[in-house]
Amino acid sequence: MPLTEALFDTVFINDLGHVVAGIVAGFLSGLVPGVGNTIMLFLLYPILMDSSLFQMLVFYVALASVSQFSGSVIATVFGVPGESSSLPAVREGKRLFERGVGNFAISSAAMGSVFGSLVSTLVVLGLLPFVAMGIMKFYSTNVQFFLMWTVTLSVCALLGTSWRQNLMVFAIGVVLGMVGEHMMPSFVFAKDLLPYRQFPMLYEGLPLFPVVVALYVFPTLWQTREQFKDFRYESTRDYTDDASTWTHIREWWRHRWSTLRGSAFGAMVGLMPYISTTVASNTSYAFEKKRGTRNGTYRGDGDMDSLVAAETANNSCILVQLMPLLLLGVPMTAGESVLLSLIDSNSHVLNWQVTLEQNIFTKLALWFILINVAAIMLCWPMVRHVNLLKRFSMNQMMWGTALILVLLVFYTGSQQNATWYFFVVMVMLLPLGYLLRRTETLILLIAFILQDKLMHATVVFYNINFG
Amino acid sequence: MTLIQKLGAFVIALTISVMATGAQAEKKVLDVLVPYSNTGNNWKQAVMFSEALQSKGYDSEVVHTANCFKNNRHIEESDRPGFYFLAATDMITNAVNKECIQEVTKKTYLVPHIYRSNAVCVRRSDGIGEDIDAILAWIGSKDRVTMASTHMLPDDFSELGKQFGNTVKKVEYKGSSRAFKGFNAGDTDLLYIGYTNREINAPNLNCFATTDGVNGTAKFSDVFPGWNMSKLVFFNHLIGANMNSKQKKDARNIIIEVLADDPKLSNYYSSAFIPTTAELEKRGLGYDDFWADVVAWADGSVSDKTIKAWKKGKLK
Repeated sequence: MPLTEALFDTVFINDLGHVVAGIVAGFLSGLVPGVGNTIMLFLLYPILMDSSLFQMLVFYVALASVSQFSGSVIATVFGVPGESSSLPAVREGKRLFERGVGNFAISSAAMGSVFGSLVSTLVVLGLLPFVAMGIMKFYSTNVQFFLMWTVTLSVCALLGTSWRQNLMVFAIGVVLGMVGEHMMPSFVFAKDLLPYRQFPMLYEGLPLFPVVVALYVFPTLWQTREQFKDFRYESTRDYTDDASTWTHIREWWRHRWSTLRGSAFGAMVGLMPYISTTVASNTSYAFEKKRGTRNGTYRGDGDMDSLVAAETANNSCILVQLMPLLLLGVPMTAGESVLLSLIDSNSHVLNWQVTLEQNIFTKLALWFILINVAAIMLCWPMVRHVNLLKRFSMNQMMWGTALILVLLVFYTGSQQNATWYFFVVMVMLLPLGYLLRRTETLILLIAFILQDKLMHATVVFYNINFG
Repeated sequence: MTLIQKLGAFVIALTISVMATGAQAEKKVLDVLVPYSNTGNNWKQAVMFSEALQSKGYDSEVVHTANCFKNNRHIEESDRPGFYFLAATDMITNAVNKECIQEVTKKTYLVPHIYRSNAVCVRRSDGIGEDIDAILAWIGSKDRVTMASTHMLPDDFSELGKQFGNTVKKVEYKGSSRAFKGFNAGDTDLLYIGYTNREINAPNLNCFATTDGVNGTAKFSDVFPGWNMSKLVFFNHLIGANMNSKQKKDARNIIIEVLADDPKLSNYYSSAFIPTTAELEKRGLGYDDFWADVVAWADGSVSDKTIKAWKKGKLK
């Protein structure tokens, strides 16, 4: 499809609602530490229930991009990291804020992010034909098997503190994911142990929503609550900004080379599973800081170059990260894993053929740029109202999030005429969630979601080579 | 705008809305349920059916029920008339392996759907050539031959190894689309699959033999004479859900109509040499043949008593 046609499709009103919803969700996701994109995806699942494949993808892209904007605002003004990729913003942004140039720190990081999104788009569109050709020729089950397992197991090596504990959590996720009837290979898991006859819905497997709330959201919110027990959205000064837009642009332009370096880092690191935004932003930050120290330009009371490079890098990652998901169905982040499971539950199929036939990449890339531009235009004025957050305590936000999710368990259950089944599953798994509260339950979630795909790839791989 | 004009506009809008609601209420409903994967031939056909029915003024949705259990639950909970595809092999696999029974009685059985040949294919890029003897010699030259197929076939292809004096290993995939893609990417040596347009038009695929020898291909019984799968065709049936006898009659008629009239559907089957409902009914095929097929596929492994229970919609 030619670019003009894709552009027309992009502007088409059908997807606009999802883009706006994604932008709002992303904005809120960055504001509340501990909630993040993964939980936000679940919070807004009802919006996605009847959505098309593209609408789901564009919603996610908006969510992931905009949360980086608002995350860095919170990090800069209050010194609290929305996500681990915001740590450089906490370090440098907070110092800049205390120095009285928080407004420039926020605007330069945001403009850098928009620039990063442009670079990322160019990289993706430039690589696409070669990658697609490679996949068509070489994406056999053997390749798929190694890729799926490497990406999935890397989560055990890269997250948390102990790989043994991670493997145990991973195994629990796999076992829970295996409950029910399977087509490949054809069997019913623990047929004599589990009460399938009494609860025939067990044949369909444990429902995603209650499992996620009990075993991922609950422990995550518990951890966040403990971590931010005494935290309040407070700072020694309020956010103010009297500078003109032109002054902000000029200020960012002074840091254009840092922006460029950050963009390059992001685009390169984007394919690292599960930790790409964190690695991109922290590596880019470390490089810029070292460079500044060597050249004698690094400022100990807040360094704009380092901040801009780090913030640009994490936004530059987002579209590159999506390539394996869109072409191979292999998720590279926790959010993407959840998105994939929601795509599956909506009976959509995601692979290179669908992506190329529906021209998803081009349309998504164009939306990505528009979303970033919209985000800066919408979020920037809202920064002035960031002080409103001081009215809420962290506890209130955590309880509010938990309450909404419990209500959503009822809602999604009722949609499938299984309200009480969903509720019972959640309640029965809550004690396990409590026991696992000090572990990296994201690993459990990923194992639970990807178990079926891993099993299919493994069985086919075994039969081809050894069976 | 004056008050009279506003009232006039309101009355017109109300009339249009009532008429539209009335038209909506009169629409006949016929959903297409898919208790299979959403990637393969079943899904593709379900989408075509639904679109064809919509073009005839029906309210038709494709419902992805994914498996036997969900399909049964959907039928129980929904009151919308619909139908789903079912072959004897699916019935056996679901009942024996998963203890899930699909109700195929005279009340629910709708019509025979298609009678499609299966095919065995090689890749042209493997450089074997088009000659059947050369292909058979190539198969025979290997100690271990892998053949991609779907998971719904109750046979492991080991019988075929006897003909070639080697081991033939079936590699199952979840759905024909995955088997097709895996084979094209070089996963296995051979592909055993339903003979559809996809297989006919794939440039790298040489489907050299089919069950009925359609489209100039060799007949399975000539190429693989001793193989118990050589006579297997994909004999699919349509099973109704939530229908009374009037709705059933109407569904049968509209299905025959769209299979003949709808350009997409008719082309899909005719270009792959697949006879459909009207032709199959002309041949006298129907409900009894479904169960005859079940008995033939069960091949003595399921008792008569159990099959009698299945016929009543019970597991045992």
